Amino acid sequence: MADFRIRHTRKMGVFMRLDSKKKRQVNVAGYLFILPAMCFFCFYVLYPIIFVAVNSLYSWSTLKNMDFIGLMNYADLFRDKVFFKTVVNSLKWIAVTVPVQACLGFLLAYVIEERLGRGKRGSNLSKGVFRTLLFIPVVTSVTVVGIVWSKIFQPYQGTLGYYLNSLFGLSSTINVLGNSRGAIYGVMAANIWEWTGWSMLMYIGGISQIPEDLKEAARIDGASTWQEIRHIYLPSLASVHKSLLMLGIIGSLQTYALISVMTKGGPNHASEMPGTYIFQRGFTNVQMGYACAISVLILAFALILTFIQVKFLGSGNFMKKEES
Amino acid sequence: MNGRARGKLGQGGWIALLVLFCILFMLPLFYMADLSFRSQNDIYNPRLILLAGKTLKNYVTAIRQNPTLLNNLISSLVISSVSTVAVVLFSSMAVFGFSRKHVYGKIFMYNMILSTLMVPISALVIPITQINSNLNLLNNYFGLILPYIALNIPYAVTILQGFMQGIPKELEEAAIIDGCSTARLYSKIYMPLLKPGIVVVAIWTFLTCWNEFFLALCTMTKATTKTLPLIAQQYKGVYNSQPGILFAILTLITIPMIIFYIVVQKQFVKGITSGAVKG
Repeated sequence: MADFRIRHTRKMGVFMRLDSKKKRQVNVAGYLFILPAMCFFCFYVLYPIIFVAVNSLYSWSTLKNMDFIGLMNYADLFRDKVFFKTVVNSLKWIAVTVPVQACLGFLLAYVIEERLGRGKRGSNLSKGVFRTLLFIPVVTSVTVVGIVWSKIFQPYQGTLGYYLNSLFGLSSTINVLGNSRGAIYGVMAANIWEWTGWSMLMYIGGISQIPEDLKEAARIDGASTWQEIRHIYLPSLASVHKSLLMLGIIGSLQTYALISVMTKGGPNHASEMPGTYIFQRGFTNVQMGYACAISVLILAFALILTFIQVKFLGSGNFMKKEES
Repeated sequence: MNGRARGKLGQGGWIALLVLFCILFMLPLFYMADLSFRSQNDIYNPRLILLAGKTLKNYVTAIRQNPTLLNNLISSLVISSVSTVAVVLFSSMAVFGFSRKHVYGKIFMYNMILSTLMVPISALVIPITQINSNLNLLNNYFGLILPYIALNIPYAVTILQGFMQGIPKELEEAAIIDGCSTARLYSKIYMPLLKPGIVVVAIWTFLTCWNEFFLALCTMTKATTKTLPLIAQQYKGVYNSQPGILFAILTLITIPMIIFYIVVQKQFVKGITSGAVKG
């Protein structure tokens, strides 16, 4: 009996030493906390990604009727002018909407927070009113935005053409959305109108984090408004710029509803975006394999952008060994 | 001109600029509302605002012809709020799990989630529609809720992870010494500290679910389960020759969200200004 106990404890000792060397404890609770998110992620993100990758190698319309054709879909895709148009349009979309929304958003946030009667009575109320009014487009449903802006841009009956005609003498038949060069910018205008309020609110959040004494110091040093913005505000708001860039890119790749409502990708694919093109090929022409191939390239594009964003702009760092 | 007067003059200019912007931003919505009160004779008049000849007829017709409007509002509300609550819960739990010791493979898991940060829903519509039809989830709220949860988790986890890193380890050690269990540590210590991040994640998730159109288009075909963005699009075709009724419906769709935002805006702005915006 005694002998057993000694042997047992010796064994335990060996285990414990092994433990401290290799850290073989497993934190079950930790896994349980991660589990739900991982389940959803695997089932609705990871599996679909694998699904489109595998099924892009087939020519198919339903899952019961599939022909393996290897990389033929991709070969066709690289010769597809419309697909290139969607890539160019996505890049244009990012290049225009992200900076415009950020600049307008910053300007509005700055004026509301810093120029609206500093510390005066009643200024809180007016701040609240301005913030709320400018944010209302963000909470307006995206298809409503699309339909209202289509109406604004409509030739003959649209209100924009009418006022351009009566104020500047331009032709009232001007057709922004029906014009192959103007269509995509018309949709971008609606997007900017809808999302500037979001940028504004994020900048309001950022500005409220800038320490008062920093602003005070600049004021005492007699900095001009521009110097104040250039040297105090813009650098202090770096994390907001990054966050908006990230959301802007996500939003650009997602863009579907506005295009679908306002131009349906037309005229002649001039305003086609990846989403609308996937819908057209996959669901309208029932070329599911081809639509999967488009999805794969969009996913690859998204992955590259994520890496660039995370590695070089440092928003949402990859977790490294030392941190664990 | 002394400094003070210059300041005053400047302020007037800034206020004028703001008011101008507000008017510009409100014009499309005023235009929408104005169109909805016009009679069929005035509807094609291109003027922005017409004061004469207002009528409520469009609203009466719109409501009488579309008894499912309330169902659609409820669909949108249920889908967006259930998804938002689940995203907040699961992503905060995941971030908490990632901060635990001895969770092997967590670096791999976190980096995998982060890599899909910018995955657009449009690229996954085909497989998700297939999953939904296999699981019989077409025309079911869960056919949208489940994918919405999954697709919003990467962004939520990224944002909340930024906050997690800012929480000092000493706090946890102190709580453990006081005999705090893991579950209590999560709910009583970490959740409140993550609150500003959670506010932003929640609002962002709610807005993206509320506005999501592509997947909803492929999932919901029954009149009663459709979400608001779908019916707006659908009525655009139906009322092509009676735009007055279309705009009455659009106005009806827009009002609940505006009221909702006015109610929550104080809380939202408070969350945002208490340091919610981080990398």
